[in-house]
Amino acid sequence: MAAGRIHDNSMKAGWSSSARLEAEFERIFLPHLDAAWNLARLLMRNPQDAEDAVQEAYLKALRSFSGFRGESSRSWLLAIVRNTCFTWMRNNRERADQAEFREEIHAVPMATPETQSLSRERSDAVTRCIDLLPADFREAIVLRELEQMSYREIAGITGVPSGTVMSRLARARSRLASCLKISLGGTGGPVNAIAEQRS
Amino acid sequence: MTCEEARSLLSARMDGELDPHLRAEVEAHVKTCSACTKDAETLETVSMAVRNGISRSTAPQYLRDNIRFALRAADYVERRQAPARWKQWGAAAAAAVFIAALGMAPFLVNARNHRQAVAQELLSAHERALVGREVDVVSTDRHTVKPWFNGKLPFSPPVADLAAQGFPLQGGRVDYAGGRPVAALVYRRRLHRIDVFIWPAGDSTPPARFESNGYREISWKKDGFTFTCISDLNAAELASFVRLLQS
Repeated sequence: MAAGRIHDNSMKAGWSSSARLEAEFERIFLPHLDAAWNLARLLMRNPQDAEDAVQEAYLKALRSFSGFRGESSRSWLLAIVRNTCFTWMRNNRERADQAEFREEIHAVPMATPETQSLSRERSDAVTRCIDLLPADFREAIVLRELEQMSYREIAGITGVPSGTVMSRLARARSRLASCLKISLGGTGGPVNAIAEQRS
Repeated sequence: MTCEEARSLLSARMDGELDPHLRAEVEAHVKTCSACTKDAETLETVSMAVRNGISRSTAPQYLRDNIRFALRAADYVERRQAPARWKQWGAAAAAAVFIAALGMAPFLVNARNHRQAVAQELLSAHERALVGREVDVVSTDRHTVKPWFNGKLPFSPPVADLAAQGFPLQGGRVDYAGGRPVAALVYRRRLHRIDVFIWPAGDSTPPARFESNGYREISWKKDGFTFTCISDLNAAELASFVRLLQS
């Protein structure tokens, strides 16, 4: 709310307020850089592309700042970040879905007990399984499990109804369940084994 | 409620996203169904595993810096949208500007044409160099590049070393634009080439800002020189580069 008001004032001040406008923008949106970075990184599965996307998203956000009405600044920014990522992935589908993805899978070797701790191993398995999800599912999982957003917030960011968010999450989790079993192997209930090892 | 229906709602139940009525129905079913109870537990486990295992990281410091630079330099790259502010100036101010502009029109049009012509010429020089000779002196050392211009140009262009900031110098060449010889410095960012054209500013206005076929062209005056940088690099990184040269 306060953000919206200050912003309006600076608009009234005219041309000279451009620097103040940018300072205000920075104050509101730079604190969300880590969230933007994590979303872009997990969506694009490639840190270099994520950097480009995040930079582009911030400039886009600055350009649309006059449309910001003091609602949740994190959601507002993340919506721009995900749109930038999806546009990029659409334009580079071939590269994103094939070459880079395979490279990425190969780059994360299957854990060997000698070299990796259990927690690292589990974390690698989770990363690998999230990477394997379709982008829509990946996005829902990141916003829910990492950003702990409500279905309504996720729906707002991704531009789909809450019901779609619900079914995407349900299907994503069911895929994750089977993927984690496969990649962790072991006998009995391997997913349960994760929980036991963790506690 | 059937098992099928309940199962499709277990994930939303875990997230606390079911409305009370539906939630009560699901709870009633789960209580009596061991398969659904087990599924619900599995879901909890998956969710916990993801929360604990999902890789989260802090954005790299240079990304933060780049964005800060880019935001502050956005004016140089983005033509800012002004209509809302124009309106606030009021009709009187607009009329005054209009009358003044009428008087200056021939001069303004000429000056604008000239600025655009130079901008276009520089872009051609950049494109030409992409297919032909990029540099006449190949060096990443500004102490080699700067003296190389001696005797080839009637001025000595400033040469900045931006390797530490991720824009390594590649070399330089002499080019020709706007009816005069200009220094061209070549920098690189990943696979993108950035040409920086430099010549004595005199009292002329820098060339117009320009965007064409994915190239961006940004010009400014500093320390008596006009600088024009051209690249197909993304707007944000080009803005940081410009910012570095200006600082």
